[in-house]
Amino acid sequence: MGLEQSANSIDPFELSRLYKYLRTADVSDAMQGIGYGGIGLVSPDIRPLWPGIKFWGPALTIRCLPPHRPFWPLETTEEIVRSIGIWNQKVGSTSYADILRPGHVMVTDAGGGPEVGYWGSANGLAVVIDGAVGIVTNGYCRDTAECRLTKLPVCARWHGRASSPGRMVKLETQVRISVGGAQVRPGDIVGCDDDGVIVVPLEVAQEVAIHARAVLLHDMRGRRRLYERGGLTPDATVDCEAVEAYYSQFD
Amino acid sequence: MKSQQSTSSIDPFEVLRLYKYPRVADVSDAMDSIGYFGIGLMSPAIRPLWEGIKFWGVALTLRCVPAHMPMPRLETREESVDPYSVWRELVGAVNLMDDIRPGHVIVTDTGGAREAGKWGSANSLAHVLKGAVGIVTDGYVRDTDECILEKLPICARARTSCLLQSRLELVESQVRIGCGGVQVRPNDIVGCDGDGVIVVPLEVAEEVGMRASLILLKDMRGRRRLYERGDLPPDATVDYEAVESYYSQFE
Repeated sequence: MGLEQSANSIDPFELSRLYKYLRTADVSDAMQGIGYGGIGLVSPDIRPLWPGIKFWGPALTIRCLPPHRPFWPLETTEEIVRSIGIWNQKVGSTSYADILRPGHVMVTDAGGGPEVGYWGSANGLAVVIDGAVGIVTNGYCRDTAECRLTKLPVCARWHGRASSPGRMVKLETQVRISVGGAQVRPGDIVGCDDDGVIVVPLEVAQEVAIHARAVLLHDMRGRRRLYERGGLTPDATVDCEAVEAYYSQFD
Repeated sequence: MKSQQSTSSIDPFEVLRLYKYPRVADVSDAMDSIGYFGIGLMSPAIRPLWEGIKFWGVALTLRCVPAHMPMPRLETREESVDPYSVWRELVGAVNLMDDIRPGHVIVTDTGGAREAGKWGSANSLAHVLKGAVGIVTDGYVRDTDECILEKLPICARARTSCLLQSRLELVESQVRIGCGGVQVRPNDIVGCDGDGVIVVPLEVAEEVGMRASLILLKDMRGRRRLYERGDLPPDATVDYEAVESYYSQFE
């Protein structure tokens, strides 16, 4: 198919710049338009944690699994405080510290096991400080009040409480995973706004962005005319000039 | 714990001999007895396709994810009768046929993909003819009338009519997967009967198998006394002499 470039030759961080103003709805329309209807549309029950989360970025993937052994009773308070580290040491873990780059979206396949708030206010804040622009999981998020307070861009299926010991194994990073019925590969473009989460396969991401920009501008102009007819105060969502000016650098 | 051996020194097909008679319920009780509460207990939504399926075997794992691209329109009638060849060409495939040993159970992680009948009457029969004693999937099975006619030992979450293209991609085999809320590793012991599916981590499988056989025998004796009191004709489920004589070889 003519739309497909080899994904190897594309810099996903550079390509993400084409997505700056796009709504997930524009991108969905563009994907539908090239015959990718439904591909990448993450299940609508995976929701942004607070209204106003919006991001686009290349995926960094994490694959987790249910446990293959139970946790064991710990002897001391000090051990209980360190329980996640103790568990990881016993069953193995994987780190993304050397992989994470500014602009990445952390996409987590939680593995479908019992409740584990794998993403919480501390590790979420840590990856955001290191440059992550979004966090997506098909599982749970915990410490949710603090996550909102610190404006962490988390999309999760559920609010949860428990942590990983005896409940989850963090297996590997940067492999193909599945989240909310969509395949996510390292470097695929992942976006979120109040409508939900969408994944754009990297090999069609440029083509999709170009169509989606046109869809957005067409819609902005139409809404601007409605604003004018209705006497509404203009806002950023009808400022087509700003969007056109931004995208002119790529023409 | 004595039961925690390194798995590399264990022959799973040898351990499997301990599982000839136990019911899934006996094995669940035995896992509880070593503190493995809920570990390996696959979601009750994954059900045997017909009444009377019973198997124990060694896991051969298959990992799938949702499709990252659509299937193109097939231009000819010739192509339309073999769409899977076209799809396999586009997204790759994983062949299990050379890996199957008699006694294997094929366990499939479909990655939460939408309705896609990875297992049907033809490929299931082919794998069973190679020696597979069970097929477990967290997804869908199709051609179900024929699967039941051929007595194929399939456990699935749901039935469907459709095939894979545009829906599912096979990623890899013989890796750790998640299926029905539990972790399954190559060589773990997997069993099914009318109660559902259970997975026994290989490193505890010998201990669990021995305990399960004792639990089974105690229950058989109790039920035999009830049969006698109620004047029911004896059947294989109360023939504890046969079970005792089988297990005497392991003492």
